[in-house]
Order: sequence, then C-alpha cells, then structure tokens
Amino acid sequence: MEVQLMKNKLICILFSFLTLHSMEYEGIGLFQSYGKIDIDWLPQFLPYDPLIVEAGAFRGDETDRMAQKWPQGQIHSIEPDHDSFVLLKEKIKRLENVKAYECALHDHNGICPFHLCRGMNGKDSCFGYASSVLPLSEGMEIYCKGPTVIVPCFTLDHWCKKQGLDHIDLLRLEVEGMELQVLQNATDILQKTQIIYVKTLIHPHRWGMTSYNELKSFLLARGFVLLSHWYEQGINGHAVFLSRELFDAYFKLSLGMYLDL
Amino acid sequence: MIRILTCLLLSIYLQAGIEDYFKKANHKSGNHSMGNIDFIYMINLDRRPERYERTIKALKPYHIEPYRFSAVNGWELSFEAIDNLGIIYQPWMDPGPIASVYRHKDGKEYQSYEIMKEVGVSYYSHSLSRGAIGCLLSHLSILQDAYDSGYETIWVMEDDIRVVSNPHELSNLVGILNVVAPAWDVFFTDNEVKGANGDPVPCTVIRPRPLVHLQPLEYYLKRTTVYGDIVKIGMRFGSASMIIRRSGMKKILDYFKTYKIYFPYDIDYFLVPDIQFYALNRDIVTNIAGGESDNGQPTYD
Repeated sequence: MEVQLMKNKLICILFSFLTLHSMEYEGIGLFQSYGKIDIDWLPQFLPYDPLIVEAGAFRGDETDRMAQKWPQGQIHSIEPDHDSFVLLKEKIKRLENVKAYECALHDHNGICPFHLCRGMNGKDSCFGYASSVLPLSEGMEIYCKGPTVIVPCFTLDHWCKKQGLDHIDLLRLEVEGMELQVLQNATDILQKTQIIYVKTLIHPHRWGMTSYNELKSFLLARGFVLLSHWYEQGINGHAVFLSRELFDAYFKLSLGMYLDL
Repeated sequence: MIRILTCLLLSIYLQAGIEDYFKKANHKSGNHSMGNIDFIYMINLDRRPERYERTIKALKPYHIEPYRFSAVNGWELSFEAIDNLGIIYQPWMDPGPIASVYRHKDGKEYQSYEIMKEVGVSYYSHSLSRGAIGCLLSHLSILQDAYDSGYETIWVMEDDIRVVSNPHELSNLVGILNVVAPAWDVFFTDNEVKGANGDPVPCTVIRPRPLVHLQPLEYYLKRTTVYGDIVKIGMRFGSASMIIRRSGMKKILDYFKTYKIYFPYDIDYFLVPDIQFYALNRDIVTNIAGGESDNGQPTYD
C-alpha cells in the first residue's frame, strides 16, 4: 500500500514536472529555434522609433524593457489596476518615451467593473496581473480573491483616436481574457497595426474569456499571420502575429521565402 | 517595361552616383604584379596595421608584394554618403522588403527596419552594416582604379587571407583560363569561403534584390569542371581573394553604378548579369577561418 502511494506520488511529481516544462509550439519553423516569445527578437521587424501600445502593463517591467530597447520609440501603456498603475508610474518616471493611462480596454466606452486579483488571501497585489474586466469562472474564486472596482474603459479604436494615434507598430496585449473583444472593437486601428504580441489564455478561468482559437481565427481573417506561439498545453502562452504586409515584406521580399501557411 | 526603365535611368541620372564615393588609390609606385596579373591590391583599413603586416608576412616567401589600398571605413562614412549609396525608393517602385534605413536624429544614427516604401529614402538589405558598405565600396574603388589604369587582370585580396600553397601557380591557372574559358570574368583562388570552424560554407540560396531580375536558383547552383581543378560556378560567398579581368571589372562596376548598394558584396556580385565566375576545387589562397572582421561592428581600438 505504502509502495503504491509512493509510486503515485512519484508519478504525480513527474507529471507535474512534465506539464510545467512541456512547451508546445506552433508558427513559422524559422522562429521555433528562439525557444520563447521575447521582445528581444522583435526589433528586426520594427523601425527604430516604433509606436507601441501596451494594454495590461501591470507594474511596467516589460514597459521598461521596451523603453530601453527602443529609446526613440513612443510607448503608451494602459493599466486599470490602480495599485499596479502607481508602481508603473514610478517605474516610468525617468522614461521620457513612455506615457501611462489608468483605464481598461473594452468593447464599449464608459465605465466597467474590474475584478482585482489579490491572490488566495485577497490582499496580495503582486497577483494584480491576473485582474480582469471579466469575472472569474466557477471554482477559480479561491485562487484570485479581491474586490471589484469600477474603472474607465474605452474601445481600442476610440482610445487611439483620443490619443491621436493613427497606427501601431507593436500592440502588446495582456488583458486577461478580453483579447478578442478588444480587437473586435479595433477594426480601424487594426488595419494599421503591424505586430500583435498577445498573451494567449487556454484555460477558461474567467467567464466569457477569449479562446485562443477564436482569437487566432479572428486575426487570420483580418489578414494577420501567426509568426510564433509558445504555450503550455491547457494553460497559457504568448503569440506574435504579423500583418500580412510585414510578413510578406520580411519573408517573401527580403528572404525570398515563400512559406506554405 | 519601357516606362520603368526610363524612370530608373532618369532617377539614376538625378541622384549622386555611387562613384562619387569611391576612394582613390594613391602612391601606386613599386612592383605589384606577377605573371599574368597586372596589379595586386590588398584592402586594409588604416586602423588595422597588424593585419597588413600579417598578410605581407604570409606573401613574403613568394616575393609577392601587394599594393596596400587604404580601405573605405564604412563606420566613418558621412550621413550624406549613407543617404546616397543605397537604393533610393522612387514613386514608380512597388513596396519592397523590410530593409535597413539609417535614420538620423539629433546627430545620432539609428539603424531602422522598415518596409521599403518611402519616396526618396535610401534602403539597404536588412541589417546591412556600415562596415559591409565600406567593404563593398573598397572593392568597387579598386575596380574603378584598375579599369581606369587600363589593367587587363588584377588580383584583389583582403587582409584576412591564408596562403595554402604557392600563389605563383595562379599565374599558370590564369593562363589556362584564358585558353579554356576565354570569357571568364572572375577567378576565385580557393574552393569556398571558410567558416569559423574551417569548413567550407557553400552558398545555396538567393535572396530577392529590388529592381534586379534573378535567374532561377539552378542557374546559380550549377558547377561545371572546365579543366583540371578549375570549375565554372554560379555563386559563392567570400571576397578574400579574387582575380578579376577587365571584362569583370566593367560588369561589376556597371551593375553597382546602376543598382547601387543593397546586399553585402558577396551576396550581390553573383547577381551581376552575365558575370562569368570561376573557382578552384582546392585552395591556393583562401580566407583565415574565423578571422576577426570589422564588418559587423568595428572591433579595433
């Protein structure tokens, strides 16, 4: 009996190890060798002064990296969680090329409930990255306790017009399940967006959250091409989509590669 | 087609020519020739005297004394030169590849990767460095000097050569080429360029070049033995050691004066229309495997 228990325990440990580290890949073979999605390999597709919009900036770690990588770029960072926004503002105060906005992206303009995630004890703001305008699905409440607050929200199209942005070179989306709704309400700016770098959520931990397959179908139908998607089966990942124009300019016209998509 | 050609010729006429940036070969006194070769040039940056010494030392046992051509240092080219040497996008062109643009802001320069579509902007192939631009300009400057000097056959070497066997054999091989392949333009003194580990690095892909009509890949991949170790080739990498005939000088110069700089020299020279390349199946003079280069970034002090 004890031996059997030990065996089960070992299998569990092995299984969890395998599932934790087994990353899956889909996309262009050429980019598989990078082993992950990383902003470090995005400069090859971008001008020296890219216009970057980041939705879900959290505390600004990636913002900081992008600001260093493209010192001549303009970065617009959106974060609706106030506690995170305060830290984001602190992080970017010396960065002249970053502007931060305390609001959420949504399918309408106005206000919306925002479900803060403060971890299992409901008090830890380091889990703020998992906050969302979408409510938690059944059974997930114990992992993501926290209050619901009301925040201003905008569609991406409206927000871009408001900020006077007529194109986006790099859109970094980490909106905890709202990716599809955000993009569906960005039809104008999507036509002038070159790269979308998006967190993909595969586990349905919030009601109404975007399924990755729907997101992918939507973007493919809008003329984007999946460059690279690294993900943990059943959990989450990150994907990079390129506009068809950029994809063709890079692979077909620059490298002479006619890829079978 | 006629419209495109007219526009191309007109735009070339109106722009600064690439030859405006060629560097003169000064102080060409002394004997820098050998059998069947009128003049021997060695490209060497002023900032790299140790490489010059090393090359001279390698050739000394054979009493070969190349003329030192003070290389164009791409890292020191003016913004204005960089803005004129690449392909200048014209309104009649189709949008092109993602290419490199050297943008200037507040006296600083940034390499930017942009789709080739802004009229009047100078574009280079993706990631083409200033060092590679300088290297190409050095080769072209030499070809212009040689052509203007009336030389029939020259040997152009870079300062990272390795002498594998007696280079005087090249005189005989040029003589043979003149008989068995009288239309030859360029003769490489080795088999292939050597990679960092010493292995040959064959060139097996071609990349699109704006405005230039490419032949099918098979055309460039073809290798035919013409005599003994001499092979006719379609393409290869490397420009460490090349013997070039007057016809080749003209073809290469005409090509770059028409189409400007876009790729590194050794990704572009085989696209020159009707260029006749020959190489050896073995090495006489080749490149030093893993030799340091200032093309990617300047590594001198």
